[in-house]
Amino acid sequence: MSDPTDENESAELREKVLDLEDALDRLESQHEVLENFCFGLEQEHDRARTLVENTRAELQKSYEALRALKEDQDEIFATVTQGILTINRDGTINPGYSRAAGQILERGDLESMPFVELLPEGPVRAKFGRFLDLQFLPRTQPAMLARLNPLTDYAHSVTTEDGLVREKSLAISFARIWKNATDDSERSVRKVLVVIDDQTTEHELTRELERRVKEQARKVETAYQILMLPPSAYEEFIEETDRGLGYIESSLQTSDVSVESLRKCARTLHTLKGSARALGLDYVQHKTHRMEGLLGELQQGQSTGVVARVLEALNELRERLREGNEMSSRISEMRSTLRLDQDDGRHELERLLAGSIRVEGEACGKVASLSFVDELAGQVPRHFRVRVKNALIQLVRNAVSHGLEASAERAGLGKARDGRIEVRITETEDTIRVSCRDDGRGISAAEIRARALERGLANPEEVDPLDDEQVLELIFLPGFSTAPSVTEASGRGVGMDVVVENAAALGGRVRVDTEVGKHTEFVLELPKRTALAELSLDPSLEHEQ
Amino acid sequence: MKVLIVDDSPVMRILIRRTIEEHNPDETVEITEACDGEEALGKVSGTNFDLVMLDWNMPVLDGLSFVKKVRGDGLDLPIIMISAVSDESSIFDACEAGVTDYIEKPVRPTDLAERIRPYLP
Repeated sequence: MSDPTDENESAELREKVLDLEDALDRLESQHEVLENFCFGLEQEHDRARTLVENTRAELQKSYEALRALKEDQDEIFATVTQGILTINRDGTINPGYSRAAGQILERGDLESMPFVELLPEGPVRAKFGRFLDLQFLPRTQPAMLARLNPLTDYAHSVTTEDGLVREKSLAISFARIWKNATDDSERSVRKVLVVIDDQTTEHELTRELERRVKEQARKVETAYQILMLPPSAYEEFIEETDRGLGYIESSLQTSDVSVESLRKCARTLHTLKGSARALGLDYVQHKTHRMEGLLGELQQGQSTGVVARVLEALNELRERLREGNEMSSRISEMRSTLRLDQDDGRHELERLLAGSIRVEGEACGKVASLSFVDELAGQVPRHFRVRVKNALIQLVRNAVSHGLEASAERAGLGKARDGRIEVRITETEDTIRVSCRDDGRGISAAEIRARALERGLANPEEVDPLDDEQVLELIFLPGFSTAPSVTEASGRGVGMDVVVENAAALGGRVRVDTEVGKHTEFVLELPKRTALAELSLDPSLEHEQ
Repeated sequence: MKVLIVDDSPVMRILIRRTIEEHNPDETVEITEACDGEEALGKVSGTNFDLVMLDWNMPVLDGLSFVKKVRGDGLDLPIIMISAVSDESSIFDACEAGVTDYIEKPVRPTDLAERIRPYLP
């Protein structure tokens, strides 16, 4: 007989065992899940580690590449002779710039400095500000920007350690660095690259060369002045000057120069200066004037070094006169050989034009007289003279070959057999007017129309609406010529180009006025402001005579 | 390609037209002309032009005002100004107003062709 309490207990125990077994099962399955999870974690961990390692290796590679690039850049920046830097949109200079940039600009640290601060305050700086803004406008063409660059030939002032101000000649150019360079609608300018070239040495050499050219030009001028003098005048002047200079030299070389002797020297110089002026010998006049100044100092008692300077100037003058003397004797030889002594007193340009008319007339069997008026007061720059001369030579040739009728034809029309060409140079307050008029057949608008169509220079629908005055302008189109036949000097269709180009180079324009059967007149209207500006913009003229 | 030539001088219009035509052997360029800025504005609003060749000094509406108007309306086409105005400050004005390129008159036809060519097909 079992004890019921025991039975109860054992049943409870069994249940507990079952519960425990269940719990164990659950634990086991949880353990399995955990184990799987751990395994997964380990795998993830491995993958992550590999990824980190790979990334680190790649970073290392990029870093090394960047460092190599940086080293290259540093090397370039340290060795180029040009100043290279970049400017941000806000106008400041970026940290990376070439060593030469600092050296040329003589600034220790350029980083973050606004570029404009390198320029002196005033118009250059203001213009540069506008220019830099345009650089960041993507639309503006590089050629135009180059045209507007205010620093292509920039004189940069630097103060040296001893407080002296020195000027450097810099050529500074600019280029844009793009963002999205390939996409037209999206692109913008990120930075502006600046390249600074120090051309100080080159400029100094150029100046030296110019000095020598000037010296040569002065010699030629002396020759020209001698040519313009009556043959014996220069020789007489040389003798006079030689005597005068000899006197001054011997007076100054005595140990104690008297006041009276100094006065006599000054008078002698003054006379020489007067003669030089009368003969148009500018150099001698200039030199004697300077010597007079030096003698003045001597008379006031300042003698230190002054005597030496007078003697130096005197020797230079002598050297020049000796050269002049040589030229003079050569020129008189030429004169006697060429019989050039009969000077008809005409204007140089007039002589040239008369010659052109004669030569052109002989070539096409016509005779014409020239009436020449030059009312221009005062000096004109050489490039102006050359331009006007070139245009007029072309115009008188055109007048003879195209404008004038042949003598027989003129006689038939009741005109004088010889043609008449009038050249006038006149001026108003602000304009110079250069005209060439012939009393020939005039220009017919109908003929111009026909010729323009025939030459294929314009279409009927373009020409038809033009009035006669507008039609005349067609002759200024390149390639236009009304000459029925081609001669050596005219009828090539380039004649008017020469005239237009020369007028344009002086800032002016060409008008034509004509009446059929009566006359043709070409007028160059040249504004004084541009025509008489000292600087010729056309370097090709620099060596033209 | 469509080009608009704006100039009050018939001779200049002929010169520009001929220069473009000479450098356009395939004849794919279609040229329209206007005598002043006002007329040009009318034409620009009606047609999608690819290029404008523009004079500065013109009656009714001058070239600079035309550029300002066109850029103000958000049109981004290239505009080449051909003008006798040659002082630098004026060229700055033109660039700032939105001119793409600036050709100074007088201009030789060969130079003109050289400057226009990059804009032609």
